[in-house]
Amino acid sequence: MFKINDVTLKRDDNIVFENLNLTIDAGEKVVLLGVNGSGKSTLLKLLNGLVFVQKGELFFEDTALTKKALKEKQTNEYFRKSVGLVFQNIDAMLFNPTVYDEIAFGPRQLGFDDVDARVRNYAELFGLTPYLQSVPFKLSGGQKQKIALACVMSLSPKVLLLDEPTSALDPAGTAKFLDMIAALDITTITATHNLTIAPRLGERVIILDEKGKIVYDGKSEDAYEIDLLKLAGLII
Amino acid sequence: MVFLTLLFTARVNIYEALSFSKELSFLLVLSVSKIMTMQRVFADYSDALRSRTLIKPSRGQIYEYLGSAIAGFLDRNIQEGKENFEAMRSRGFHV
Repeated sequence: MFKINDVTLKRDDNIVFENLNLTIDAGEKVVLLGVNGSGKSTLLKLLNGLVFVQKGELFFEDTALTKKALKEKQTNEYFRKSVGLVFQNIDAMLFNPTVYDEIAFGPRQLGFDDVDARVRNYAELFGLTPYLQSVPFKLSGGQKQKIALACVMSLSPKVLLLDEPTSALDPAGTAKFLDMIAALDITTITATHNLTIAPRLGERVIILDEKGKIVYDGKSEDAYEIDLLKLAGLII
Repeated sequence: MVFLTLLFTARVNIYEALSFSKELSFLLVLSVSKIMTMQRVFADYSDALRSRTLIKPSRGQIYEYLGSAIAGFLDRNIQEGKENFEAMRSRGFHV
């Protein structure tokens, strides 16, 4: 589904990734672990075609993800329908006057026929029906996070990229979210530094060190070894 | 003029008034959300300053703190503006 070949990426003169290689297959549930600044969010933005590689190649289903490729309407439309990203900074995702419009934004932009049905379905799923006419950014952190999830889920993506998706959810909301992710039959890549929920987010774990280098890529059974987590700076 | 502006904003639902244009609605929501975020950040900043200050800061110190706070606000706003646009692109804006 995604193939990253020898990718080097610099942002603001800092090297985020150097010669990064990674392959993610369809249907995989991947957990990205790493300390703050290890490049988890940047990797998700790279996979969402928001930042582009400076050296190396990145492919999504055999299409090279370049600025030029995403300028083509058909490629961009297919890619945006296929890959959804929930941002770490939820406020960045809320720019519509009502929750209804917020959830409908993606489906409308991408020309879905059943916008209303999608909005009502995902609002119901996330318990947002009573708030459909509310102003999104005035709601609580937990509700904003649910709106952000509903916004992306309403596109029925093949790949769901999640950046710290439970940071504002309460324990009940987190449990419900984890059940929902487990039930989804799509590729999910979740960035987190929450070691409590990480084992439930996926069977493949990728650990990045503070320099953005992959120090572990494998099954979750072996990923939570104390020495490994210490090496990645996730525990002291 | 101020009275008329206040009367207008109190009587008219500005979100509905601008609903005829999607672009104006985005602009309004983004502006109001930014103002609210900045208000919250500024209140937190004042509280944090008060909680770490034993004596009342001098006028010079206040200007110095204010300068760095404004620089921080600007930086944060630029960063958040960029992220807003990325979030819009991510969900198909300008397709």
